[in-house]
Amino acid sequence: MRKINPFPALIAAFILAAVGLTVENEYYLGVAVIIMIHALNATGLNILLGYTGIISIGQAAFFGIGAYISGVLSATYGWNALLTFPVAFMGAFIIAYIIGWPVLRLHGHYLAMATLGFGMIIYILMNEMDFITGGPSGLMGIGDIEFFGLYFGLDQAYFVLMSVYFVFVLFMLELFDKSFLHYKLKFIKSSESASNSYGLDTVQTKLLVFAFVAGFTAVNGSLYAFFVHFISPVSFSLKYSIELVAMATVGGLGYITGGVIGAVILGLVPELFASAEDYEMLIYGGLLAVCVMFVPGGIAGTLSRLRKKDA
Amino acid sequence: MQFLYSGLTGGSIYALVALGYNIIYNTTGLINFAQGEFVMLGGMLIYTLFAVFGMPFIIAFPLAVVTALIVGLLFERVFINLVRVKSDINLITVTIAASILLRDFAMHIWGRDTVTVGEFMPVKSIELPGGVISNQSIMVIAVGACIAFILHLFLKRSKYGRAMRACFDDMTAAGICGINAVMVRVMSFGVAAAVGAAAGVLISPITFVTYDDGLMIGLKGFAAAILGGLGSFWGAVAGGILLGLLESFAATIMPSGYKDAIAFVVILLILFVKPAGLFGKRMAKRV
Amino acid sequence: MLEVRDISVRFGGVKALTDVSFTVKAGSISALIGPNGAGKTTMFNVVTGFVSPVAGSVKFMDKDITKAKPHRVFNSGISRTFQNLNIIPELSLRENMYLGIIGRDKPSVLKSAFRLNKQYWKTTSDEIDTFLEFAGVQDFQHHRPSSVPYGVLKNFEMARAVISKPKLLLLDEPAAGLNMAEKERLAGIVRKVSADGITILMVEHDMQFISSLAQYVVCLNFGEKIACGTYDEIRNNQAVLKAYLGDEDA
Repeated sequence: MRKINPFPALIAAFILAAVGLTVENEYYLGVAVIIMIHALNATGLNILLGYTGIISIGQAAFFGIGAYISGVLSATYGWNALLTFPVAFMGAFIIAYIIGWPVLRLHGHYLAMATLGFGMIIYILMNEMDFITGGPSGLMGIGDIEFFGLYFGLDQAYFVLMSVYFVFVLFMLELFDKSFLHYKLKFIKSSESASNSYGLDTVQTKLLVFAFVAGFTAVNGSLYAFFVHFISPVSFSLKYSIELVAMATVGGLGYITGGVIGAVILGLVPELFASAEDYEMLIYGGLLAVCVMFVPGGIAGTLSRLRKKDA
Repeated sequence: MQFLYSGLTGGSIYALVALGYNIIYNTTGLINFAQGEFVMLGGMLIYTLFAVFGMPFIIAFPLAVVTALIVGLLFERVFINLVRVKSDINLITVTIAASILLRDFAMHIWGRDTVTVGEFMPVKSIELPGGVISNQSIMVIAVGACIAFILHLFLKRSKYGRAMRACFDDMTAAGICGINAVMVRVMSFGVAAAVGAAAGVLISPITFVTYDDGLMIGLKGFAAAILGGLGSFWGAVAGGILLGLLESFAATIMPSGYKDAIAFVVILLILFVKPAGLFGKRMAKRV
Repeated sequence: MLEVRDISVRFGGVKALTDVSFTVKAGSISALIGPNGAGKTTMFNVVTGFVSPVAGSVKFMDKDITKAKPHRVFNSGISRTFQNLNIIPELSLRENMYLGIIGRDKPSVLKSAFRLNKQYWKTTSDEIDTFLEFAGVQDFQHHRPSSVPYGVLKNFEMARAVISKPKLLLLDEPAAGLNMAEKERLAGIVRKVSADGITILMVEHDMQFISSLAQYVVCLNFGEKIACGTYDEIRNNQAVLKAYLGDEDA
């Protein structure tokens, strides 16, 4: 059992507290919330791709499923926001479980294409089933999160809520990373036949990981929906799935902080170079290519290697 | 009957794109996620040469294809060759990254708007039993068939073609027999890009060209390849035509928005039910 | 202990195994030999559930495991090693030992993540120390496999297989690629494992390695059993000599 390293979560908490205390501009707080959501999604993908070896290029679909479940329940049926979260989680979990049953038997390129195809189908359904989703013009009138008399309609309040959740999840992820699950998943990633012959039910484990990450991603989708109050299919297209792959890869596959690092760097790009919006995808593609070609382990991997050299 | 004619036209294009996947898959075991970008590139190149520079089609077409071939060679040298750890995940990711870059370069060169290529010849409609077909469509089908046939000869008869097939059977053995495996890999990317670009040229007057067309057409080409059985030459042709027909048939019975979903349903169904495709050989799994 | 009866395997049209039967006695060291392509590894894959036979049955401790999935086969008490080692490159040798532990104990996810079973993980850590020492690889425990000599990895693999507490251990070409000294060390470890009461069945080419270890030998050729018996019986068996040396001088 490895020692817990509380620093990533503490550093994140410190930075978020500093941002919360100093930044008053709602726009920047909003950017921070969105980056946190990207970071969680990228971390979810990292657990699939970097730990378990499941190539999923359809994560945007689960993000969208969560957002639409919460959005529709809140906007159309007037549900309390909080009640929609478990529904979003379970909905995505079940869909992922059903889809994963056949899909996760595939490997490599086939798995990539199958998840990509799934993502595209969901995307097309979001566009075409306008009687539920509002179609390409989107879904409006999504309510606010409210519980125990606390109201999270304002961006400042939402930033606080999101930060608390974010740091909590980071801490949970650290517990996960330092438990035996880290080994179990990496054994499966490295060799399914070896894991099998050492008694690991790889099919079942992969299915559960895939479904759990889908549920987690859907919850992020719900958080997104209640933050922006308006969702349309564009946010859940293949482009977002690929952005997540880029974030996880650049940040560092197989390192628990990888998704967060990648999301912060790539999430800040469009903000820092707001004038260079045209070059956003160029930067994504370029960084992704460079990391895959020359920087195995991404940024987190490089940092960890440097630290080991010093020690 | 009308759906048959339009299905054949679309199907020929899918077949060509599928052949591009197969050429690369057969020599490297890799699925090139940027294959669709070559199709877009073909469209953009013919737009530049034919519509902007006003070259005669008969010169512009080969020139576009050769340019794409060179891009394909460079693509392999830059992206595939430089990946240090050639794991599945890395190779998939690098072709995705490359497709983002190609698309973005195209956007900066040719802009965000759809470009119109114009007709290669005066358009005429031809009455056929149960529907009409334009001479444009006939050209797509005929030239597509020619390209497939030339490619078939190339792979069966030429030195490079045979070397490509040897590499797929056994990379090491092929190397020992004096085949330059790296050369073959580079070539296969070149030829795949050329075939994809040819498809892009052919379809451009009918669908016009936008910088982000590559994604969809690439995925549909993949669906065709997998439908026919990845790696199988005639499987790709049959898969392409079958997908074209399925799509245009589906358009007659459901809202057109769902048409694009057909390809993905096909991908998923085939992968679930018969990953080897309709005409592919089953490969033994090694433990 | 292990009873293989009339196993036949087809790959497409190719007959990989035809009606192969043999038994492995509890506590023994047995070997499966034969020229390349004789079907030895396929036989292993049948026993461990990676390949399903078209006919025949595999019984382990009177339980039918013919159709069992690989992880169920492991649960019933059979561990195996691999020709290509299957040691995870991004983890140290010590961390790789957990593969043997996790499959064996199936520890609780929640308890482990929230560190409610510290005592259990403390015990396993001690256990890992014991078994690393058992195989003599404790000096390399914090290295990654890429920086460890091949011979050491082979020994390590024994440690990882034994820590999973199997009743039957299958070794796939344990001596392949080792020099004389390394083979002798490995043979020593195999003897120690056997002395601990673990039954061993191995696929092996190296006749000398087998001669010093195996009490019972089964010889396959072209997917069929051509002989079985003690090492000395096999060594003088005409069919075996023919299979190994070819027809011309038989």
